[in-house]
Amino acid sequence: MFPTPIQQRSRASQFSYQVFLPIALILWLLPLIAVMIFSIKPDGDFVKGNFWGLPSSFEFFNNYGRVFFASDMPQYLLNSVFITVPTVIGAVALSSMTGFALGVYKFRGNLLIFFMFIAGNFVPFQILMVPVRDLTVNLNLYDTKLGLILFHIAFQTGFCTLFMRNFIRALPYSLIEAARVEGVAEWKIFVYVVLPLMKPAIAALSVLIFTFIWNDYFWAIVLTQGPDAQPVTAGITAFNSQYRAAYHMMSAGSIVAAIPPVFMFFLMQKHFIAGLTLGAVK
Amino acid sequence: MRSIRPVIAGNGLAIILTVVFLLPTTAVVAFVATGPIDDFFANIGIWLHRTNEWSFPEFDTIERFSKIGFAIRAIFIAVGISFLYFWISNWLNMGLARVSSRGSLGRQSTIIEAIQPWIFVGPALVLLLLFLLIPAFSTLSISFQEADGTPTVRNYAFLWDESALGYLQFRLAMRNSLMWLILVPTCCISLGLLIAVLADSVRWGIVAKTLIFVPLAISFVGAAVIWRNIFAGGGIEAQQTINGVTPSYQIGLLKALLGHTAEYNEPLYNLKFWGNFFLMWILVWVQTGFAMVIFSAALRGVPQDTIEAATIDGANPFQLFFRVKLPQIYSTVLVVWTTLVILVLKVFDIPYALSANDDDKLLLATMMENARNNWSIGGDNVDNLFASIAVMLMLTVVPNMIFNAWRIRREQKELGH
Repeated sequence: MFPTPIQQRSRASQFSYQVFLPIALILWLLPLIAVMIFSIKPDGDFVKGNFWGLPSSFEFFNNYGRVFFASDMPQYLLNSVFITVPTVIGAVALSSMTGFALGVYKFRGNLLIFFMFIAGNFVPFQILMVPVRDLTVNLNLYDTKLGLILFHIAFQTGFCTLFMRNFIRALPYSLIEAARVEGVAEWKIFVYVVLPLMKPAIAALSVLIFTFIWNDYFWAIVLTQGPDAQPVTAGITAFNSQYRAAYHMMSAGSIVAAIPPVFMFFLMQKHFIAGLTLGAVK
Repeated sequence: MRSIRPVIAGNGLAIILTVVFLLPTTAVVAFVATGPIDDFFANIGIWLHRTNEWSFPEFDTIERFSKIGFAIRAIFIAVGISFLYFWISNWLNMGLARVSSRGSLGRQSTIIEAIQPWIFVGPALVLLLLFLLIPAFSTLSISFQEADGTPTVRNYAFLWDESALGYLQFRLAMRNSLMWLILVPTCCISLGLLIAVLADSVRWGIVAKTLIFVPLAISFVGAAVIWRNIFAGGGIEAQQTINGVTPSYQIGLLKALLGHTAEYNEPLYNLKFWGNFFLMWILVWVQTGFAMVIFSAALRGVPQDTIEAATIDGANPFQLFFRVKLPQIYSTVLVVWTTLVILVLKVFDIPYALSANDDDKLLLATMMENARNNWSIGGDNVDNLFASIAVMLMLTVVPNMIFNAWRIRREQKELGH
């Protein structure tokens, strides 16, 4: 069997493997470790040039306290929540409906619509930027969370529909036929037969979309400005220019901004990976 | 059947009209009717403010709490409207079909089935048209227009006019985009494969994989900020240069390790030409986890008997990997590769956050944003240049898009759908 379990190899290669791998791992995570250490250092360390030494005092509460109570960060975080959660709900709801329609019904235009969604998935968003911006301005949605939410939903449904359609196609079609023979109305088939079977797909997709939207930066700076509506990714750059050269604050800020998606990832790791694999392998 | 078409069209139109008129009206009414909820939340805010004696102005509290109230009722109304849409359209569909089929059950179900998919597809299709299709074509038409709307090809000609500044920038952007396109997916895929194979053979491989995967959850901007600490140059730029003091230490770990002197305080990603590779590395760092996860799932799917057969025949680990396993996950590699290529073409955050204005680091995406923000150099006001750059970017994606559509279609056919 390959890979040979490392225990069965020679002592030397076992040793080098077990030493090399942790070192590689630490190198990989070095920037994260660095940012964590930076975030608990006092201001004085950076002035003195003590960048990579041990922190001279432990300033965790001080630094993070300032992020949470003396900056716009909480507002940005809240905006991100208010943008991300409705987008996830909206995109998943819409795409399970379209996925159902495209996966189950044979109707004229099925294929055309399906390819439109695929194409929407691949369009580089730069080509949409200016017209979408004008559109949101005309609809009076510029610099509002609603504008950002609507656009995110529209843009994510491409990927989500592809995902959902493939998942529904893999479900046993006989279930739907059986329900039809029983005379169950179509929307009831969707709600009571198909939706419960889609739970794993919905979970996986929600986690995936959550990180996509939370981490979006481009649309955040195109469609919004200022702490009223901007999410935390845009907030972090504003935060950085506010605390220019205050490395401990910048680090604490970026950790705070990264915590929700990372937390979400650890909490829902299985679904996240399932989502990625489902989305890519199919 | 011919007689049923107009009936279907009529019913469809009736449903569309009802939905278009009824839903916005209901939404407006619901918003007006639930207005007092904001005041209620504001009152809770005032009460909390007074009992806890918060230090900031009461006005802020009121505003914040009424915003929370607004958000809550907006969510409830949105959900309600969605249910209303679903319920009304289905109810109308069935009701109208019953009426217009004149008692024939067969006709009734034909009508229902013809309209049903459009009820499910409708909302997403409207959003797709409004926010994707129409904007894409309007960018295309803008790219052939002057700012005042007169038709022109100047926006494109500008990119090929050697005397214009756009000429050099466009070429640099193309060169860099090409480098990103080749290097980033290659690195991600080879590293991802390597890690997927190596981590499978140690006991704590799962932990290692999880840790390598973590960067994927961090935003590109976040990753850029995090890596800036490693790549940074010397000194504290703002304060120190104002005072005229030369910075006397290296902030960036890598530069300190490379032994750069304190006077040389440029960040690594600002290096001419080579800086590009440091920017690329950030994206590789983020995306390797993605490649790794997919590959490790695919490798687990490789049939065990093929591996055993090869081992019995005396294949060494390298032959086993390159001759037996890799060919079997070839299609997965292809999928990951196309996904990464599209991602790279769209990448914007990392170069924009770190070196937005440096010609040498331009990508098509960042060049376009720059063109949109400030394009009036040497009297050449090419207002809609951004649109032509966007179209060029789109053109680079199209082959990939067609390839993917073709691949998905073929897979569907193989699966017998």
